[in-house]
Amino acid sequence: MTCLEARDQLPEYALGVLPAERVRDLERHLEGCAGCRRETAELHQGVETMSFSLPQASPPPALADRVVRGLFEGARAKPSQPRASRRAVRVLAAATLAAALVAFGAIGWGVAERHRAQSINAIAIRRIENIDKLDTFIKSLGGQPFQAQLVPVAGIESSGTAVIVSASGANSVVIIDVLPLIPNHGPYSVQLIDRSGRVFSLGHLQSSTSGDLVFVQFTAQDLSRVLSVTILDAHSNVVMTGKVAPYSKG
Amino acid sequence: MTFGREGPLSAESEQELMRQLVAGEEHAIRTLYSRFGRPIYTVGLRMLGSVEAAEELTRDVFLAAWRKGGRFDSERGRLSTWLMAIAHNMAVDRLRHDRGAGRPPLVLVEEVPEPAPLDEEEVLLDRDRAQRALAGLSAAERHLLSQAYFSGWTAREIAESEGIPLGTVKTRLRAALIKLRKSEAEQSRMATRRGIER
Ligand SMILES: [Zn+2]
Repeated sequence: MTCLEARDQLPEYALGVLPAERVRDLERHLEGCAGCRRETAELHQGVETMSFSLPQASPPPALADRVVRGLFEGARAKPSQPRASRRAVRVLAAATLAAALVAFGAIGWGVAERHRAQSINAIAIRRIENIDKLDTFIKSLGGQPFQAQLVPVAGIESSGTAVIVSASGANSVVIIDVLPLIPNHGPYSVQLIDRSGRVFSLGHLQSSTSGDLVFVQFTAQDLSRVLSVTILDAHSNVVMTGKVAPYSKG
Repeated sequence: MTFGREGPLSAESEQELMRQLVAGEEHAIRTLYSRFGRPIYTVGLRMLGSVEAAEELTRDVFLAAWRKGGRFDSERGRLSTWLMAIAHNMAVDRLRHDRGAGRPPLVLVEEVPEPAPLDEEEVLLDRDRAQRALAGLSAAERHLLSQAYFSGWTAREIAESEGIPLGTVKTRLRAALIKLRKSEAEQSRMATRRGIER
């Protein structure tokens, strides 16, 4: 396309009325032509002036929140997958993580590996799930497994699962997988509370490549009496909680 | 970096704001909304004619801004120009799509303005400048521009309905947009100068 041809179509392009089949060619020309881009910018400013000349309307006050929510929902992608089915796979997601950790058995579960947890996450999320491997993993630790369904407090949207294995030595592990929280007030930290009221402040949830927030931490602490799992936002407000129950497969 | 809710942003701040939007940071979405939510909603309401359609358009414009945000380049133009172009384009698409369901309500530029609350000086100033820019167009330019802007007609459709050559329509549309842009830029420069003298 020559500049002359491009210029001929630019007013319609700026006004949004150029037929779609011609837009693509024109945009390709614009990518490579600073002169026509400048002309486009000026025409767009004319359109903007037109928009600002309209009697300004007052949007409903609640629209701001709906815009924010719409954006987060859009950001979750996968529009073909209804939310209900995503919830149903929550437990599985945590299991996936653990199963992948099993696959990394060669790395070992020692304290020294804690710092590698994040890179393990990155790889783990990409692995194929196999829930049986979670049992194998739990058994391999020789400890007692628990799980907690994490439920958001009022005003927050998310869901998630925590799996805790209390084992001897440094083999106790906490694995958490939650959907991105809406609204987002991260970074989020993890707290466990046990029967005696003792609080374990653990690290932060990390963004995974799948878009979920995940957490994996090995510890030498005794997690056998943990009652609840709590997720706190950046201002230490509780955003999600879950009561600990015996682990059940899937 | 934090952003105020009023006053112009530097090109650098606009770029940073869009970077944060793309990263999904909520305060960036809210900042963007507090600055541009109203004019975007206005375009939706005036062009599509219902509160529901205006709300839907507003949500979709912000979603599109988030999706396309990586392509925003502050060196190529202002953020408001970019966003208002997205808003107007989407509204036109919807109009054209719904065309079968009857003609959209044609909103005349001359429409009597709604009284605006007193605390919205900024909005009034923008509108005042825009209206003065519009007053500088010839009747023919205004007429053709309205048909493209509000009704989403292509140059060919306008030429056919008006019985004037296609080339003339395109030339007038261009002349009208460039005039608006020049007048607005000139008034904005004068306003800045007055601001400095004060
Ligand atoms: Zn060119």
